[in-house]
Amino acid sequence: MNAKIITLIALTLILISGCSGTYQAYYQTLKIAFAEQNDAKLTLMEVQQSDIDVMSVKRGKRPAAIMALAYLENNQHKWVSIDNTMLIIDKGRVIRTVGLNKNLLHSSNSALDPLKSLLHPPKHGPQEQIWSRRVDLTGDEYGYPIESIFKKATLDTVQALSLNIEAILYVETLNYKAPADYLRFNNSWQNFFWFAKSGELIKSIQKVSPLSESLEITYLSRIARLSQ
Amino acid sequence: MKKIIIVAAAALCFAGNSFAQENPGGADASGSALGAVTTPVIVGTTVGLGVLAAMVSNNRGNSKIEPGPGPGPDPDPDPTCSGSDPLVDGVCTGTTTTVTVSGTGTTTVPVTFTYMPTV
Repeated sequence: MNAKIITLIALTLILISGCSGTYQAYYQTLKIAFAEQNDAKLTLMEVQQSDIDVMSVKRGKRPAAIMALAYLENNQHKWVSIDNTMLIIDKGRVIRTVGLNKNLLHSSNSALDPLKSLLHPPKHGPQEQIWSRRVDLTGDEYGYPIESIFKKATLDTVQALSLNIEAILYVETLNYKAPADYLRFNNSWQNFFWFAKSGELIKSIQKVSPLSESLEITYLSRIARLSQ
Repeated sequence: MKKIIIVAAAALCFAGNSFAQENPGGADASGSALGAVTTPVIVGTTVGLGVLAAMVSNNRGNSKIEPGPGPGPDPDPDPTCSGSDPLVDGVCTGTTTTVTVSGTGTTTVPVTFTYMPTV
């Protein structure tokens, strides 16, 4: 028999075996596992044309989602997503979450949050601002003390909606002060806040507790207004 | 004093402006949202290792064919009587003989009896 025919038959058999149910199941599983999940994106024009303020939220390693501003109540911004989650933000600080697997129920002492006065610090005040609060989380986790230290700002650039915006970056170093009965290696973490030179918060990366996933928030509508 | 009032007024204007520009959508706001915040995270390497383990396990394993169900007990077995006793209306009828010896002679009397058949 011709060598070419033998090779062809062998190749056909290999390919046919690849079509079997088991191998198809392996293939489909791997395909789903390694499929690239795309971020939800809007163009500058789409953001400008939107009647409702929108922001981009990337939670942990998930693809970014677009959330819309639903309510402005008591100086708090209430943003909703298409899957019925809600972030309640007070001057850039996430003070409550709804609809996540683990939610922030309450954050105390928000009146003295340095985020509210960072851009207008007292002339002869200290270089660092320290702030203490307690947070309540779902899962019967109440009254966890967190201490924040804000350091002097640095200049940075925020890229969003195909724009480069000069910004002032404030870094907040947080320490989780609650005692634990087990070894805990992540008592400390950092939050980042970018303010436009006009004073508006345009981006932040923050975690509500050491074990929660980070929230990367980009305020698209504010950035679009800055570009006008 | 005048200066302080002017500065305060200016600050209030700015504060008002920063909020006046924001456009909330109320209950219909989620219509402008895109993508989900609670999407489950799939760790590709973990799934890959799981599939690899499944492939190895499947290839090493023996295909054990379980025997099918047997014939099982007869749902309605036939009742039987011992010997050649007849089965009448679900009851077996047997016959025996009784020999009676008297002064005049010997008498043999057949006697029938019934019993339940064996199942």
